[in-house]
Amino acid sequence: MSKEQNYDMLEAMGLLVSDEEVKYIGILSDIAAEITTYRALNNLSQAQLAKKLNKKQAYVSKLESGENNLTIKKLSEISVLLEGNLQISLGIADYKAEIEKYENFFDIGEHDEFSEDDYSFYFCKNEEEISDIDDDEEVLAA
Amino acid sequence: MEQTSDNQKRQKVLLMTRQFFDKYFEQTEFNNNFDYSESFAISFFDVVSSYNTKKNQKFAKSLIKNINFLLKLKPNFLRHNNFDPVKGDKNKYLYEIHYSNEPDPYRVAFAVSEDRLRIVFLYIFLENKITWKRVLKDKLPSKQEHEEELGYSFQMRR
Repeated sequence: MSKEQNYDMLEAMGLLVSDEEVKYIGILSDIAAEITTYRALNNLSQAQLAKKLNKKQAYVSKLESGENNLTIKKLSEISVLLEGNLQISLGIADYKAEIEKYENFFDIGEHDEFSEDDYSFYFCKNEEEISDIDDDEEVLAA
Repeated sequence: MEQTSDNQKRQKVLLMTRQFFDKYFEQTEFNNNFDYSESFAISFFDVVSSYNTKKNQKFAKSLIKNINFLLKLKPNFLRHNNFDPVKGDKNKYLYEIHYSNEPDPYRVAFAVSEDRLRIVFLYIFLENKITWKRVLKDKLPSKQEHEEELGYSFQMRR
């Protein structure tokens, strides 16, 4: 029996769960494991943790069972109340790395590898100067 | 003839169980620290066969959630959640996922390997069908048999 055929069998039995749902379950269980670990490390009961979060014990129980679909607002609240550092990423683009590249680009000036002229277009102060540069470009293009 | 049929069912059950876990865990960090016994695979099949498609979807999601969660916890923290010792376990090595928090009345018994690196699912108990009494009456494999099958020992509870 091939792998694909076997997946068909799993699907027919209702055992296939979509990739999105597996991801969703994974994130909920990440949060649940983090809450449980926090409670264990700080030796807190569910009721004691609930008090810190201004909630009832059932709320913590649900968090630890991964049953709550938490909003970003709720996550922020929990993170602030427990003095955490909430970080959320879609994992589709590393914008921090992109910003770093951009910053590195400006750092080149510190090494004196380029003359001030190379950067002249960054330091235009008025329309007259911009116009001069545009005129030069037109001459060059011609 | 009957033995061949039993053997075929056993192979089918093992293959289906392996495919189920491969689908969800092959490409994850969990691949190396999750195992299941043959008796788990057989009871997994019994549970699935006794449910309808809708219930099986619920069961699959719940099982994935429980495994994900379990694998992210240190064994020391098990007592802080819904993972209780199995009552009546004289060898003191079995835990179970508490049935009261499940959408359906199934319970999974598991153990932690001696090096604490692996979680091993050993049995599924399904209300009125697969019961802990069967283990106590030696109808299902013992701790020693599981250890021989899997090739490592289980951690005893403190």
